[in-house]
Amino acid sequence: MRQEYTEGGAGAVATLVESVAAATDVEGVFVLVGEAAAFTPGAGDTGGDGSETGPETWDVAVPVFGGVFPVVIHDGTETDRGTLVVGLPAGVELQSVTGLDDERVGIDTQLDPEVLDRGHETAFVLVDAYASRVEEFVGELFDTYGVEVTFVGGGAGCLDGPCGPSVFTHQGTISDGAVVASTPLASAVGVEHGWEEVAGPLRVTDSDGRTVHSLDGEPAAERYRAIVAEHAGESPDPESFFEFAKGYPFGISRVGGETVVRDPYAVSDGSVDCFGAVPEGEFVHVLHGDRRRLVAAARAARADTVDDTAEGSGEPGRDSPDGGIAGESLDHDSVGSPSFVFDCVSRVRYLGEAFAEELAAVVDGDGSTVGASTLGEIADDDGRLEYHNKATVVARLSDR
Amino acid sequence: MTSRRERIQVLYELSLAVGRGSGLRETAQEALSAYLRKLNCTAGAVLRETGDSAAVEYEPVATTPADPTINDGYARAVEWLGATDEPAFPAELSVDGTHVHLAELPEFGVLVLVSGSRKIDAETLGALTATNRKLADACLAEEVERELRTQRDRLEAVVETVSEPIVRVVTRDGDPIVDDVNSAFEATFGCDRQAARGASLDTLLTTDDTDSGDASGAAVTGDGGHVESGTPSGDQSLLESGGVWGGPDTPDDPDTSWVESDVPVRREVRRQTTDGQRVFSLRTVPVPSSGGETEQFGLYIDITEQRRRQRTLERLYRAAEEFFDAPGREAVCRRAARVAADVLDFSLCGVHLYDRESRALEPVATRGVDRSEIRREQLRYTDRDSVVWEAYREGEPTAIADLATFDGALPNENTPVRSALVLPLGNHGVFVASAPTADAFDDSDRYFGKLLARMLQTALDRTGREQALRSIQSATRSLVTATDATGVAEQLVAYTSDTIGAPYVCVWRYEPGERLLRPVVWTDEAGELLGEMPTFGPGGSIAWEVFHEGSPRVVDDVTSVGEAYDADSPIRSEILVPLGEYGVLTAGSQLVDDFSRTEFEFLQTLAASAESALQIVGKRQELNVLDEVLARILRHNVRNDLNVIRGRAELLVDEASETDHAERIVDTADEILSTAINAKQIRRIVDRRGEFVATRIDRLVRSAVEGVAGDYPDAEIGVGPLPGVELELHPHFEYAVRHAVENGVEHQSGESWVTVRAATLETGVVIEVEDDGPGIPEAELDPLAAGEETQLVHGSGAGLWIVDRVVRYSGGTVEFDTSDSGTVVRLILDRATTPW
Repeated sequence: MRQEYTEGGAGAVATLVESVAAATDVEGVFVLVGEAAAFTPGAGDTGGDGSETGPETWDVAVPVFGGVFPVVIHDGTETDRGTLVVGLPAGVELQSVTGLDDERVGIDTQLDPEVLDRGHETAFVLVDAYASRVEEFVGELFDTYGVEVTFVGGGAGCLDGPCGPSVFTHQGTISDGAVVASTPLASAVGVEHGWEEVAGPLRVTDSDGRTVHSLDGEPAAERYRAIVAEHAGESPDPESFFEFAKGYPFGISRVGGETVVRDPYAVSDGSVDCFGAVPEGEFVHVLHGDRRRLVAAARAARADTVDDTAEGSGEPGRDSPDGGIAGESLDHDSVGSPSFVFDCVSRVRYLGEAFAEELAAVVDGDGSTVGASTLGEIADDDGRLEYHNKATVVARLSDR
Repeated sequence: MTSRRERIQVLYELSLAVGRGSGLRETAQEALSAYLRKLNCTAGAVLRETGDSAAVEYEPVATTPADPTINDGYARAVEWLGATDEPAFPAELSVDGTHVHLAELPEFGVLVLVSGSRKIDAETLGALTATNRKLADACLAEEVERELRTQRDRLEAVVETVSEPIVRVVTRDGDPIVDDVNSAFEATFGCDRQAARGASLDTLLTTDDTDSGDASGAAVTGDGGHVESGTPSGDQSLLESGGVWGGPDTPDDPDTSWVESDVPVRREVRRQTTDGQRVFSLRTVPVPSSGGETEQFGLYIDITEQRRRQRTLERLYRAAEEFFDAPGREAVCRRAARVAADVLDFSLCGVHLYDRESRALEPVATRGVDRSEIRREQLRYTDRDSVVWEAYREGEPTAIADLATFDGALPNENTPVRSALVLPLGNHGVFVASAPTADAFDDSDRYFGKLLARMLQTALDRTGREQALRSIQSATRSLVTATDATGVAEQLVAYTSDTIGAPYVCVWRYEPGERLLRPVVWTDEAGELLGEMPTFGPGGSIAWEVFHEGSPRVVDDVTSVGEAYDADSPIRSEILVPLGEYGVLTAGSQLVDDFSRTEFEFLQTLAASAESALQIVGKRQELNVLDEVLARILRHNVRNDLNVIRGRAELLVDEASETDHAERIVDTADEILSTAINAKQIRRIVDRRGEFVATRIDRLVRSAVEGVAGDYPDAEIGVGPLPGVELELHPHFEYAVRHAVENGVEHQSGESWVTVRAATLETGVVIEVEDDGPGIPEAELDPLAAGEETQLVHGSGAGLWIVDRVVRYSGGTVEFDTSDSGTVVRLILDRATTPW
C-alpha cells in the first residue's frame, strides 16, 4: 500500500495527493491530516503561487477522502504536524453525509443501500466528532448495512474542540458531517479497550444525550467524583478533574459483549459531559485501566486481525486480558496486508509516554501500518456496530 | 459468561426501553434497537403474525438493518417460520456459524435476534419472557391506538369537510362543554373555533330575538313549536316540534339536554345565525371516546329553505284549486295571475295566449302592469324572433337575470324591467314574470314559477278539451239538421274556423266522374289568400292521399313534403282529415308548425261527426225522394188506373154471363185500392209521429163508428158508454178506432155484431171493440208483438198495423183477446206508461 508523508502546506499536500492518485496501483486515496499540520483543509490555503489549493482543487482521477485528527500514525510513529497520504489498491466509493447537527436532516436517506449490491465489504467511516448526532449516524449505518459491511473509522477533529471542517473529500470539506468510503476489499477488525470495572453499577437516573445529570438520583458530577476519589485515594480538585477523569471512564453494560466505554471530558453544573451518549435508565460502571492492561488490549486488537502461528510473534491472540473485545480474524497467510489503526486520543493522553509502547503493539513491524488517533472509534465487535470511546481499533485489509 | 447481576441489569434496562412510542413502528423499532444494543446482536426484527390458522404469515414491523433480507440469519428465520406449521418458541437456529434466536411476542408475533457467532445464553433468553410480553402488549396497544387514531382522523377529516355545522360536545359537571366545532359551524353561527372550545353549548347558541334576521319573527308555542307572525295561528309548517325528550327548544333558550342521551336524537330547532334565525334539523350521535366519556356529535342541517318551500308549495296547491275550477280560459288565466302575485310574490306578471288570427301572444291576464311603466302594447308579443316566442316555440323556460346584458332578442326595446322569467304553457302561450331589478328571480322563484306554469297549462288543457267537447256536441246536433251535403260542409267549415281559429278552412268534395277533389266550401280568408281554389287529382297532393287512404294528417312544414305543395303556396302548415267517401276537410296556416295535437284530434272528431251527418243527410234525401215518388204513384197513378180497371170490371159483371173473373177483378181492384188508402194513412201517421192533439174520446169513437157505418151500411155496430174524457192523442187516432171496428165488421156474417165502448182508467182510458167474429189469425198478430216498425203488411194486416202504430204513437198499448167466439180489441191509453 503506497503511502507518502509531508509536513508541507497545501501546495505540498496537493502535489503529494495528485502524485499518489496518479499511481497505477492506486484506485483511491486516504488523507490523514494532523491537527497541527501546515495544511488545513478548510482554510482556503494558497499554494506557492498564491492560488487556493483546498481538496476541491486537487487534480485527481480517483476518489479522495480524509480527515483532521489529533495525531497521525505512520512509519511506527505518531505526529500531529504532518499529512499522510495513503493510496488504496482497490476502488473506493464515497458517500458524504451532512447535517449531523440538524435534527431536521434525515440521515438514512443519504445512505445508499445498494452499496452492498456492488460487492463492497469494508468501509472507512470518518465523522465530525463534535457533531451532535454521531451515535444516530452510527445507528443509521447499522440499520442500513447491518454487519454485511465491516466498518472501521472514528471521529475526526481537534482535541481541544472544533477547529473547522474536519472531514473532506476531493469535492470539498464537509461540516457537521461524515464520509463513508466503501471498498470491495475484505478486512478483519479487532476492537479492544482494556478498561475494567472498579465501581458500579450506577443507574443513570437523568441524562440528556451525552450529558449525565444524575446517577442513582444524585448529581452525576458529585457521585462520579466520589467514586474516583475513593478509587484513586484522593479527591481531585476541579482544575485537575479531567486529569483524573481520563483514567476513569464510564462503561455501559451489555450481554454477550463487553462494555461500551463512554469517556467523560467535562463537568458543568453538576453534570458530566461525555464523548458519546449515555442513555437514561441504563446502568453504568466506572472503569479504570492501567498501562499494562491498555497496551495488552491494543496488542489483542491487532492480534484479532492476525493469525498467531503465521506471524510467529508470540503475540497474544484471542485470549486477551480482561476488558478485551473480540474481533474478526483473517487466515494466517494474510500477514503483511496493510493495516489501519484508529486509537482513541484519550488513550494517547492517558498513556502519555507509554503510548509509544501501545503504538509498538499495534503497528506492523515493516512500518506499513497507518492510522490516527481519533475522537471516538467506529467498529463492530462481532455484534452491533458501535461508537466506542477509549478503544483501539485495528483493521487489516485483504484483496480477497 | 454473563453474570446474573449483569443479566438483571440488562433486563431491567431492556424493560425500561420497551414502552409505548409514537406509533407501532417506532415502538417496535426502539425496543428492537435496545434488544440489539443490550444483547450485542448483529440484526433483528419484530414480526407481526397475520392471516388465519390455515395460512399464517409474518409481516415485518421493525427490522435492523432496514433491509433484513441481506442478513443470512434473518433470512433463515423467515424461512423457518414459513416452513413450520406450529412453531415452538423460543427457537434457535444457525446458519454459517451465525446464531438466530426466535422468541414469541404473545398475541402479536415473533421477535428475531441474530447474535452472530455467539449464542445468547438460555438463562438470558428465558428471563426475556416478561420483557417480550411487555413488548407484545405495547405493540398491540399501539396497533389499537393506530386504528382508533386512523378512524378518528378519518372522522375528523369527514367532520371538517362536511358543509353542515357540526359540534362535538362532552358533559362535564353537568354542563355541555364544546370540545370542537368544524369550519362550517364557525361560519354559520359566527363563533370563533378557539373561543368555542371549552365553552358551554348552552351559552354558545343563544339568540337575540330583537336582532332576528328572519322577517317572520317566530314565537314559541307551548309544545316547542314555532309560529310565524302573520300566519294563521297554529301554522307550524316552518318548524316541527317533538323529539325524544320533548320540551321547548327556543332560540333564546336552546335545549341541550341531548348531550346526555345515549341514543341518536333528531329534532328541529331554531337558531340564530349570521344570516338571522334559521331552522335546522339537529341530528346527534353519541360516540364513546377512548377516555371513557361519551362525546356527542351534533349535526345541524339547515332546512329553512326547505320549510319555506314546503309552505309555499302548500299555498300554491291550495290556490291552484281556484283556477282549476274556473270557467273558461280567461278566468283560468286571471286566477293564475292572481295566484302568481299573491303566493309567489310575482308582482309583475301576465298570461299571454296564442291568437292564431292575430298571430301574436296576446295578454289575457296581467298583474301589476297598471302600477308599472309598461305600456299595454308592449305586452302583445308579435316578434317571433324574440326570447318570448323562442320559449313558447321550444317549450323551454327562460330566465333572464339582467336584460341589460342579455344577448338574445328582447320583445320590446326600452322596457322598464331588468329581469324576467318566461315560462311556456305548452301550445297555449306563455307566462311571463318580470321585475324592475336585476337578478330578481332566484332558484326558488324559478322552481315555483315552473310549477305554476305546469298547473296553468293543465288547467288550460282541460278547459280547451271541455270547450272542444261542447263544440263537437253542438256541431254534431247541428250537422244532422242540414238538408244536404253542402249544408253539412258549410257548417263544418264554420265550426272549424270558429273553434280552432284557423283562418283558412276548406272542404273538398270528391267528383267520381272526374276523379277529382273540388273545393265546395271555404272561408273568406281562404278565398282571399288563395284566389282560385285548387283541385286535387290522383298523385302529387297530400289532400288526395288523405282522401284515398282515409288517414288524417298534420303537415307541420309544407317544405318538408317535397313537391306535394306548390312552391308558391302561402300555406305553411296544414291539417287534412278525410270525410269518408265525401271528400276532405283542410285547415291551413301561413305559419310553420302552427297546429297542436289537440286541434288535430278535435278536427278528426269533428270530421267523424260530419261524415256521419253526411251519411244521414244522404239517406234522408233518398227517403224523401222515395216518399215523394211513392206518394205520387199511390195518389195518382195507381188510384186512377184502379178506377179504370174497376169500372171496366163492373161493366163486365153487369154484361157478361160468366162474371166470376170480372168479380174477382173487381175484388182485387178494391183490395189494391184499400192498400193504397192504407199506405196513404200510414204515411200520414208516420209524418205526424210525435205530435199530440187534445181529443174527446166520446166524439172520437162516434166519428169513427160513423165512418165505418158509412162504408158498411148493413153493419150492426153498437156503441157502449163513452166517457167524455179528453186525452192528448195522435192527430190520426181515429184511424185506429176505425180499423178496429172495420176489422170486426169485415168479418161479420148473419147476425153478427160489433160493439164499441170506452171506460176510464185510474190514469187513462180504455177503448174496447168487441165482435163475435172468427177471431184474428195469429199470423197477423205476431208481427205486432215483435214491434217492428219496418214490417211491411198489406190488406187487413195493414189495418192492424195502423191500430198498433197509432196507439203506440199516442203512448198506449193494444191488446187482442181472440177466441172462437169472437175478438176483443182493447186500445189502452194509460198515462202511467211512457209514450213510445
